[in-house]
Amino acid sequence: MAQPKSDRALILAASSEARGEGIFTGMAIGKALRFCPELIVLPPNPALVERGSMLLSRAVSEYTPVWEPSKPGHIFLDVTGTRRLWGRAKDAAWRISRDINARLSLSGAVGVAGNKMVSSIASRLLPKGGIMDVDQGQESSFMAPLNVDYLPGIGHVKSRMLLEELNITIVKEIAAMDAGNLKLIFKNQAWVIHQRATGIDPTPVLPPSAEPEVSEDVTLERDINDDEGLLAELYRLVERCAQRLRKRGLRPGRAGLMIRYSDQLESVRKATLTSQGFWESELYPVIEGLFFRACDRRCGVRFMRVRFTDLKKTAGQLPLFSMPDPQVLKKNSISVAMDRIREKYGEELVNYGKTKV
Amino acid sequence: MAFIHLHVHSSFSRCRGIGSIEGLCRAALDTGMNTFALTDTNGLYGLIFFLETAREMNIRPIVGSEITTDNSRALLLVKSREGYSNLCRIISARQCHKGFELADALRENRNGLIIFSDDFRLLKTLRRDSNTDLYVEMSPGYSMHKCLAFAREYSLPPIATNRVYLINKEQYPLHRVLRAIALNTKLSRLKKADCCLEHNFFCSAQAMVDHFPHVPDAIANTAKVANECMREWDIFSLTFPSFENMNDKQAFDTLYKATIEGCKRRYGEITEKVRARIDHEMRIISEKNFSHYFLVVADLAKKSPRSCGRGSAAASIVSYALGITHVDPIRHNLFFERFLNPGRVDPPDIDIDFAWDEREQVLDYLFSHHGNKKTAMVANHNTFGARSAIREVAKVFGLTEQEIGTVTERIGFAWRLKDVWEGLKDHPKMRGVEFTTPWNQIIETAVQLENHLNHLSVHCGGVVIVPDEIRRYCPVEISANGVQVLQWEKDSVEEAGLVKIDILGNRSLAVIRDAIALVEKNYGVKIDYANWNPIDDPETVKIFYKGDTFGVFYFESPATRQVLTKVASGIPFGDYIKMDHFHLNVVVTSIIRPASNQCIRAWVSRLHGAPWGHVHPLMAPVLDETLGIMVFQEQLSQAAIYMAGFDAAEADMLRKVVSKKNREKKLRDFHERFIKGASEKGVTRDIIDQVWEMIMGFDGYSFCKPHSASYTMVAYKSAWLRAHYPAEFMASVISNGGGYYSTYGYISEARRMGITIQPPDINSSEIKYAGKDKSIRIGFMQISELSTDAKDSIIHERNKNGLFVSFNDFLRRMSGHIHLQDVKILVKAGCLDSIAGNINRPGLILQALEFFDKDEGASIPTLFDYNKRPAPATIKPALNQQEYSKQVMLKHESEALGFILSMHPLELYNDLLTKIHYVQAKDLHNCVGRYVTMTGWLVTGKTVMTKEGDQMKFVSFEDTTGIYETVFFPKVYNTYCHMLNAARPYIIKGKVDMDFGSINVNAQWIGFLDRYKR
Repeated sequence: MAQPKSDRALILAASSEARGEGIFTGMAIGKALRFCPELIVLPPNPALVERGSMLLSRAVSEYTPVWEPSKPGHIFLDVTGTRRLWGRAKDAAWRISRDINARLSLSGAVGVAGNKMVSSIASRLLPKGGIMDVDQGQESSFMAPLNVDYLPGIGHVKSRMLLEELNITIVKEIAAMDAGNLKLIFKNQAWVIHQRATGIDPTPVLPPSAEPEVSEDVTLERDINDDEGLLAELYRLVERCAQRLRKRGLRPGRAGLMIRYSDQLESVRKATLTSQGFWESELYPVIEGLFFRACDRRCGVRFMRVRFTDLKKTAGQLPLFSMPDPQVLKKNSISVAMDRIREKYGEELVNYGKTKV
Repeated sequence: MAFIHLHVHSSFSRCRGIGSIEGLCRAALDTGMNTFALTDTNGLYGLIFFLETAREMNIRPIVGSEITTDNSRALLLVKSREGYSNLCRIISARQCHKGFELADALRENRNGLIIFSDDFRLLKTLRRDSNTDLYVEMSPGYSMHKCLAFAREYSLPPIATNRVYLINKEQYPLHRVLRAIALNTKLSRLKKADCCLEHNFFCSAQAMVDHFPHVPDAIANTAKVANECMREWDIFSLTFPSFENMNDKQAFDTLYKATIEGCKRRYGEITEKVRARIDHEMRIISEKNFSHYFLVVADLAKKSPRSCGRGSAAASIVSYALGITHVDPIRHNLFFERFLNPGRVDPPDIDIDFAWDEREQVLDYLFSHHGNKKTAMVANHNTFGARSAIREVAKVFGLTEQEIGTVTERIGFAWRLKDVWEGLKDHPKMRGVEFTTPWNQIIETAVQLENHLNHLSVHCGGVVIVPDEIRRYCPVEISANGVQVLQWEKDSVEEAGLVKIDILGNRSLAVIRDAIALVEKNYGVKIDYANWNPIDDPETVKIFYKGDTFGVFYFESPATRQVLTKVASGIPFGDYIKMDHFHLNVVVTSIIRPASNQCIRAWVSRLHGAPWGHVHPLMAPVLDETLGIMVFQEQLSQAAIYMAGFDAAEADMLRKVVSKKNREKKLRDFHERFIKGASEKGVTRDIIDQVWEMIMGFDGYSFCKPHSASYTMVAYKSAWLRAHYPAEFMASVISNGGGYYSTYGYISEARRMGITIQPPDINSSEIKYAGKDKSIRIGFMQISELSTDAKDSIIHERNKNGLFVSFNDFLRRMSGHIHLQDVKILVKAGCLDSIAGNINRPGLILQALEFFDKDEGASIPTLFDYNKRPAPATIKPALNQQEYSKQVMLKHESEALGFILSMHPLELYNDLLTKIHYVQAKDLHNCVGRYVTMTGWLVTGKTVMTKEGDQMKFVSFEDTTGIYETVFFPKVYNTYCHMLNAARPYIIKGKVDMDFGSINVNAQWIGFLDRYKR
C-alpha cells in the first residue's frame, strides 16, 4: 500500500506475499516494482482507517477509562485497578481480543507489560496475533536479545547506522555501552535510548482529549474538480452545521475545512470567525474563502469536511449604534423557516438553487 | 464590401490558437477569401509552413504577429522586406529582454510595418511620431465603442478584426482546455480574460460586415491594408556564414590553399587523381559559393583533434584535407555529388561530432567568435504527442497521476491518437483499464490537441551563422540554459536558406581520447589521431571478424554483433582479411538501420553465395556494391536517376519526400514522373512497380554511405584500441558512460577479456576508471554518493602531499574537506582497507564518528591559527565490533558502487543452481536445435515492432560463463513483458536457434530464479 503519486512514494504497508518478494515498508515504489514487476499497489484509504480506529476505540473504552490511541489500529490500555472486573491483565487482554474479534472481525496481537514501550514491542513480536505477557521486572532481559530495530526512538537512519555500519545488532549491545559511546552515537538521546534498551519507559497512558465541535462531511458520488459543484456541496455542509449550531444555541469561534483529493492527499485550512454567529450568511463566506485556499490543485475532490470549534453558548454582541441590515435579517429569517420545514418534512424538501448544480 | 481577416492566430500561438495553418487556409477558401494575415502571438514560428501551404493552396499570404506584453499590445503586419526585418527584431526583443517596452521598440523599428492596436496609450505615443500606417483595432466584444470614440477623437483610421483563434465555433471548448493547460488551472477557474470569445472564429466577410454597419471604414480599411502588405515572399535565399570578413574570392583562394596543403599532409604527394578530384570539388564549391562555409567548419574542427565529420560531407576530399572528416573519399569510393552538386537547390549542411564533454566548449567558441549578433541555435518544435496530450487534458479534468498513468503508460511512443483513438478502449494493451467518465471527453479532446505546438526546445546541435545580423532573418529567443535559439525548427531553417552546422556530442570520441591518453601515460606511446590508419591491422580486423565489439563505436549492440558473426560465418580469417572488410562493415552500419534491416538475411545469404540478380540491368550501377539491396540513402536517389532519368536535384527531393510523414500528396507527382521516365527508357511496367515499391519501402531511418564510412572509421579506431590496449580501452568506455550496456555489463565483458577489475582504493584510484596492462582500477566516479568536492580533494591532497599512510593520516589530512558521510561511503566501498591496518570496517566507522564529533565541537580558529594543523584524532579502543558478515559486505558494495563487484550476482544462488539442470552460456553452441534451460542476469534489451504492429523483444542475458542473446516473439513477449526489466536472476527456457553461426535462444518461458527458493 502506498500513495500512488510517483515512483519515489514510499510503501506504507506490505502483505506477507510482497514481503516474500523482498518488498518492505519504507521502500520506494519504483524500486519495489523493479524488484517485483507484478506488485499490486493499492492506495491507502484514510476514511476506512479512521472508521476502524473509531470502532476500536469504542470497543476498548468499555474495559478501562484510561486508554490512549497511538497510531491507527494501535491502542494502549492502562488496566490498573480493573482486576476485580476483568481478572489479571493477561486475562483482560484475552477477553478484549476475543471481544474485538467478535465485534469487528479483526484479529490482533496484545502485548501485556509494565510499561507502554515493552507492551508495544511484545505485541510486535506476534505477527500472527495472540497474547504475549512480559512479567514485571523481566523487561530488561526481554529486551536484551531483540534486534535494535525494535527500540523506539532509534529511527531509520540510526538503526541503519547501528545495524549495518557499526555492526551492532542486538539491544543487549546498546544496554552494555558506556556513556561516552552512547553519547557519540545517540547525542542528546543517549540517556533515553539507554533507558529503553534496559526496558524502562516512564511515560503514562494518556487518554485523548476531545474538543467539542460541530462538523459535517461528504464523500462525493464521483470525484469532481469543478468549483461550482464543489461549492454547492460545501454550502449544504455549512447549512447543516449552521442548523445544528442554531438548534444548540452555539456560536463558533473557529472554522476549518478539510479536502481530500482523489489521490488521497489532504489539504486543511482554518480561520478565526470574527462574527461569532451561526447564520449561513456569516459562516459560508469564511468557508468559501477557505475552499479557494485549500483547493489549489487540479485533481478531483473526493471528500470534504467542514468543522466549527471553539463553541460558545453566548447571546452574541448586538451592534450598539446601528441596526442589522434588513436584507441580512430577512435571509436569517428564511434560514429559520427552512430549519422548521426541514425538521418537519425532511432535509431534501427545500433547498437553495445553488446547491442543485 | 470586402473584408479580410488580418488578425488570425494558428496553433503556433502557443496554447492559444487552435486552427492548423492548413485548416485556416481551407477556411479562408471556404469563406471566399484568397488572402488573410497570419499573426501568431509574439512569434513567427509557423511562417515557413504558412508560406508553403499558402503557395500550394493559391492564397496570398500576409505576414504579421501580435506582440503582447503585460501592459501593452499591438498587431504588426509586414509591408516590405525592411518591415520583415523590423518585425523579427521586435519579436526578438520581446522574447529576449526583460524590460521590453513595445512603444520604444516600435518607435525604433517602425519602418515597413502596419500597426493596429486598441491600446490607447500606445497609439497616443506612436501618433506623436506619425499617423501613417497606424490604425485603431476594433473587434466585436472588445470595447468597440470606446475604440471608435478614440479613433474619431484622435483622427486615426479604424480597422475591423475578429481576433481569430478558432476555425469554427465548435473549437471553443478545446481553446478553453488549452488555456487551462497553459495556466496550470482547471476549467472552472479560468477567468474571462484568460480566453478568447466564443465568436473569435474564422467567420465569413458578411458576418463581419454585419457587425460594423456604423463604421464601414473599418471594413474597407482591411482591404486597403491587405493591398499594402508585402505580396512577394521569395525573400529567402541561401545564406552562408562569412569567414573572417573575407570576400568570396579571398575565401575561395584560402580554401584552395588549405586543401592543397591538407592533401599533401594526408597523401604525401598530390597525384593526378587527387588533383582532379580537388579541382572537381573546388569548381562546384566555387559555383555554389560554399568556400566560407567550409572554412568556418574547418576552423571549428581545429578546436579538437578528435572531431569526426559525419553525414554526406565525408564524401568530400576538401573535408578530408581540412581535417573535418577522416575517411579518404578516393580510397573508399565516396561520391562528392552526394554532398554537393550543381543542381542541388537546398543547402547541404556539415555535421561534425566532438567528444561529448568538449561540445559545450566548441559551442561557446562559436558564439564568442562569431558573436550572438550573428549566431543562434536551431529550435525543435515540441508538439503534443499521444501521451502528453492525454496527460495534460486529463489533468485539466481532475484525474490523478495514477489514473492518468494507467492509460499513458500503455501507449507506445510511436502511437498517433488520430489513428487509434476510436478503438483505444478495445486495444489489447488497454486490457483491464476502465474508461469511466470523463475518459471519453478526455480522449476526444486529446485527439484534437495532438500535434499542437507545446513548447520550444533547443536542437541537439544545429547552429546557424549569418554574415550580418541573425535577427534580420528570424526571431530569436533565449532558452532556459541561456542559449540564443531561432523560432524555427530545422526544416524551416533549411527552407529559408539558412545553412546550419550540426555540432553533436559523441561519447566514443571521448573514449578514444581517454584511451590514447592512458596509453601515452602508461607506455609513452603516442598515437597520431589525424593520420592513424587502423584498417590494415589484423588484430583490429579480428575484432570485427569475431564480433567481439563490446564498447566499439556503433558495432556494440547485440544486433550488430550478430550481423558481424553472420558475415564472417564460414569464412576463414585469412580470407576475411583479404576481403574489403571496411566496405562490408560500412554496409553493416547502414543495413542495421530501420529502412533496410529487414534485408539483412538476404544480404548475408547473397554474401555467402546465394544466387541473386538485379531487378533490371539499369539498377546494376546503383546496387552492385550492396548485392542488389538498397542499403544507403543515396541509392534511392540514384535509382531514380538511372531508372527514370531524374536530375540530381529532383532525385534528392524524392529521397527527402519518401521519409516524410504526409508524403502521399507530394509523392503522386514523383510517381507519375518516375513511370514516365522509366517507360521512356524501355522499362516494363511491372519492373517499374517493383523498383518503385523498393523505393517506397526505404522510408525508415537510414545512413548515406559517406556517413557510414565516417562512423566505421571511428569504429576501426575503437577496435584498434580494444585489440591492442584492452584495459585502457575498457576503462575509458566505462568512464565515459552512455554506451549500449550498463557499467556492470562492461565490467563483465572486461572480465571475459581476461582483465582483472580492482576495487576502488584511496591511494590507487583516480576519479575516472584507469586501465593498465591486464587490470582496471575502479575510479571514484563509480561511488555516486561520494561528493564531487571530496573526490577532487582526495586527488588534490594525494598529489600534493603523497599517499595516505593510515586511516588516522587520512582523517587528519582531509579534515575540513570531507564529511562523515563521505568517509562512511569510502569505508563501505572498501577504499580504505589498504590503510586500515588491523582495524575492521565497523571500527573505522566508529573512529570516524569520534573524529567528526570532535571536529564539530572544535572552536572556531582564530586569524593566526591558519598554519596549525589539526591535532591528530585520539582514538580509544571502544566497542569490540565484529567484521561485517559477507551479506552486509555485498550490500555495502552494491550500495557504494551500484553493483556487486566481488562475485557475479548469480553466484549468490549457487545452492539453488546445484539443484537445477541448466546449460551454461559457454556450452550453448552445443545445444543448437534443442530446448534448454538457462540462467541469467539481464544485461540489456530492445523492444521492436513486427510488421504486424506487435511488440517483441531481444534481450541479452549473461551467466558466469558468458553472454547470450534471447528473442521473445510477440506471443511470449505479451505473457512475460512485465517481468523483463527486473534486477533479479532469471531462469529462461527456450529453443536454441542458429543462423549463419549466430546463436539465439528462442524464449518460451521465463521466471525469477530466486522464487525457486520457496
